[in-house]
Amino acid sequence: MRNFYSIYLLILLLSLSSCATYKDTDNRWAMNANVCKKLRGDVLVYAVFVDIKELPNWEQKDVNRTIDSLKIAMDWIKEKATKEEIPLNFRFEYFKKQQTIDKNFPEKLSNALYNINNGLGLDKINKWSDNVSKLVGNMYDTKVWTDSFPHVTKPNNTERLIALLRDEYHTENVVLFFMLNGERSKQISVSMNRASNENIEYEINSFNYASIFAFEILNLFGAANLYTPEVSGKGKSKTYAQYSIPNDVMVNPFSSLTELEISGFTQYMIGWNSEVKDGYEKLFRNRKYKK
Amino acid sequence: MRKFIPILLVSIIVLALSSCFLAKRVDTRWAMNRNECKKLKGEVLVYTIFVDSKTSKPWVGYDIQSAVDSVQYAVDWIKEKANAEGVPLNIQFDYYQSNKKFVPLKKELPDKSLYKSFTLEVKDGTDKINKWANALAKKVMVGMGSSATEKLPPGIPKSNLSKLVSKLKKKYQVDCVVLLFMMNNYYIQDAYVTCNYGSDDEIEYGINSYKDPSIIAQQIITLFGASPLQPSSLSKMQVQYLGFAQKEFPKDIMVDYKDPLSVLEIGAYTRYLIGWTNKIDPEYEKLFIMVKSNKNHKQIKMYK
Repeated sequence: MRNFYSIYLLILLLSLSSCATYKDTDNRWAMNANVCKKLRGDVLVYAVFVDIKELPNWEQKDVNRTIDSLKIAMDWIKEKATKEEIPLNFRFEYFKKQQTIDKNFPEKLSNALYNINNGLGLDKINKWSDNVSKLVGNMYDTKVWTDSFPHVTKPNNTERLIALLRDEYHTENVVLFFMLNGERSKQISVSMNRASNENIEYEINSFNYASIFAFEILNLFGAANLYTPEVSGKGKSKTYAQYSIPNDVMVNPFSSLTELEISGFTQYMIGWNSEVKDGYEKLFRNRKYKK
Repeated sequence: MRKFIPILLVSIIVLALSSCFLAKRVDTRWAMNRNECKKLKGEVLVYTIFVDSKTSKPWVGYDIQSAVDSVQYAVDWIKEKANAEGVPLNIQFDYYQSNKKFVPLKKELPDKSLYKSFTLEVKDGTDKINKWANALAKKVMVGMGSSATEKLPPGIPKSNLSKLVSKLKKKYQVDCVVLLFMMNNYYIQDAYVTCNYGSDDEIEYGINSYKDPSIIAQQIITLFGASPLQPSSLSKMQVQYLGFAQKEFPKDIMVDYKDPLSVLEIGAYTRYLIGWTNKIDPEYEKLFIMVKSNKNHKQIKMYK
């Protein structure tokens, strides 16, 4: 039961942290912001597995399980895109030269989320991700180029690592995951710098649920976080999203993907359609539903 | 009655002055035949100079190739539209290389971003940007093995930009040169600006920190006299009846820069301004009226 409350607290903080990043839930403007723009065309999903003191070290079976979940999420999104006649091609890679990067997290996970919520811990976490990227960059076997263009050789921060990946994989959109090996009571899932015009966006994740991966990928591409944790289910009024699009992956990321969908509203937010259907405007603010 | 006449005259003058102040009626076609980019006809060169600075991200192979693709796509789109209108137009596209090797030129902007550089005190900002562009033009000429002491015919601004344009015209045998300075902001939102297009003092050019073909096409067309039909806090003046323009030409490249080029068009009003047609429907003449830009609105000339 204590574990359950720890998870709940972390999830609550996660949703609060999203609120801290956006003053208004109408975040379609975020769709074309930063490195993950419209979710179409070629998209590279790149994972770096990181060991931190607070969580168990990665073992091969954990890595495999996480990769499997991530691939399920990508296949699911791709299937939905095909159904909507959206050209989308995912490519997945992860840093293999050294299975995991050992870089301790700058603070306790729960504190980190609290600080992100208050806008205090962003610099620390960005510095941590820069250090992880630098370690990756030092070991990365860069491609040998024969053209006369400049290329990234030794990326020394997250932005340069993403620049290198864009260059090598010839793609505009790169989803960079820093994977932590979560345990039941300690989990983190946070989209960093999604609305920033200074720092590059990336994801820190310790879950290995396919639905959470789908949620995170869509979130980086502009989908609004419509998840609201319920304390007891009784006596709590639903949000407009919970009422109108209950099976949307952005509303209900803890369900099985087979039960979930990408609603018309979320499709609008990620650039799959250009018009919001009647009534969906209310989802921009996602207030409590009133009959 | 004799007392009334001076009062009436003063009133008329005050009224006339105040109306000049509030809304200046300008035939925006006056910009079409000014400066370097005149009518969008004949032989045109679009010449791109890639610039690295501390405030933008360094150019790397993929970004350069995709930016080149975007410019080419924009150029092809304009040519296709000209062809459909029966306008003779050939646009060549090239970019600066030193000894066939791609080298981005390094030059710091006057401020932390293009937007901030351009929105310094208006006169000061333009001067500083022109100084920045002239320094780059000099570097290009040196890289092309040309001295910056080339003599220019009378009546042309004696600047490095002029000298570079003159050299490019000779080299590519074209009537007009569109100079585009490109900066790499692959995840940062900054701005794109068109400088000096109504000026007689300095050569006109564009600076772009995006590689969206719609924005590039809009920028090229603006240099040839088209009037932006969207609000901008980077312009001193804007079309008064923007709502009318947006209603009449919802898919005009000067109205809509968010959609892909494949769904955009060059509307009748814009075709008139770039010299593709000589007559305009009298109904659209109200679009010539320019007013001071509202600096307070949030929709600045940024890509969102």
